Amino acid sequence: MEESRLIQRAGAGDAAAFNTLMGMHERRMYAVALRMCGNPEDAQDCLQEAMLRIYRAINGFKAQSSFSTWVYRITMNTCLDELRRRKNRPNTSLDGLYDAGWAPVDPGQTPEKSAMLGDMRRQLQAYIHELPEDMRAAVVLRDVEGYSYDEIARMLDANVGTIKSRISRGREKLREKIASKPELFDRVDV
Amino acid sequence: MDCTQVNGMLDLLMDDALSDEQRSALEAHGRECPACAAAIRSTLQMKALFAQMEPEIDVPLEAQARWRGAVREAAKAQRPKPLRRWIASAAAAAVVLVGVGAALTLRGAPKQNAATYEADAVAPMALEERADAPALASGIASNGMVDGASGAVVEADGMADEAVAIGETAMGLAMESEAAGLPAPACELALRVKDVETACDRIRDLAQEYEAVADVQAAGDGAADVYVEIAAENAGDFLNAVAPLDASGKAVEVPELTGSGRLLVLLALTEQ
Ligand SMILES: [Zn+2]
Repeated sequence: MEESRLIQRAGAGDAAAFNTLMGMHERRMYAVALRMCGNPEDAQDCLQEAMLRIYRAINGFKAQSSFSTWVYRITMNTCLDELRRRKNRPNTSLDGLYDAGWAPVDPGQTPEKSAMLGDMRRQLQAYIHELPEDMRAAVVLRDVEGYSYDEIARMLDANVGTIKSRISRGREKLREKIASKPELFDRVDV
Repeated sequence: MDCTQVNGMLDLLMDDALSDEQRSALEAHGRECPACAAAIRSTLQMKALFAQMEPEIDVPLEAQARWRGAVREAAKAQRPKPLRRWIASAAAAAVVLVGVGAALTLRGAPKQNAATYEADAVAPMALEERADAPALASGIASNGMVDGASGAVVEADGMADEAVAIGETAMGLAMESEAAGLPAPACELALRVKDVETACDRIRDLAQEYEAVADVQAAGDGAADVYVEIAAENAGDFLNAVAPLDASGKAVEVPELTGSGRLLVLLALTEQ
């Protein structure tokens, strides 16, 4: 069934049509949530909350805009709300950072190199998590999800200039953190 | 090029937007300036690691079931409203009824409740003038309120009151059936598959192809029930396309399905 028909039926309250429609987006929504939250439990809570928000709002979705931009905008807002709400909660330790969502390591690698690559990946994930939330959101949408600056500006309700500078500053911070740990990042080629 | 321009160049590098000239200039500067050379190296390391991050991640089956369940709960809370609205407008206009699903069989989903509810009712759907009658019918049918929507036309002059009463009965039955689970599927197919999540993905793809709506529910122990709402004329082809997912080695018997309109098929998936 076409996306537009599913949207129409979901807008009429059809939960099964909604679930089919959102089944096409849930993996990307979950990836965004996982990268923003840093752990699967919070990411799954955000995924569910975002789905409910979308379900309640889909009736008002305007067909002339992009459905996926709208969906990721709500997803990101849900994550940001949740992160702000949980600010007072004690920070989860880095050990809890997930290993999911990475391309499989080339099986031809030595175990030592695979282990080092794993360490680098976890470390980068931790660095991403240390970025301020707005910056993290923009970097994740650009460098992990591959959205254009224009799309990200629409998703995050900011103008393109702001988004560009957020991404640039976020990358600079990550770069500096990476450079400060040559014993990890310079040992093997990524 | 001087150091102040390097940051902008590194953004272009991250965006794969460096021209050949810019790339050469950046490299040339890096050869002379150790600080910028380090920044270029870190940027390349970061870029390579980002490239290994998947933009999509499989949602654990339990989490899938959780959000889908939450949406169904939310839908249940709002569901009776459209029917009530319709009943009100039927009472006001009262001319000709388009009846849908003359005979209904509602019973609890087998997995959730052994009790069987059976009831015959007429679900009056809309007045002749209502252009959205088929959409309403299919919406309600797919919401699990009315099973076996046939689209049959029932002419009944001046029966608005009766329509309201019948509508209320249908709604009551639908709610009863909801409380027990889901309307009875027209057929149930048990499949032993290699991997339940992969099979669910495949079934969703096939559902798309056959203009059907698939709803996955976790059934415990890694098993899943997939409810597929599909046009009767597509159901046979769809089931034949799904059957090869079975990895048990036994031939899967695809039942003959007859009828018209949309029907519900249950695929009970267990892992081999
Ligand atoms: Zn320099």
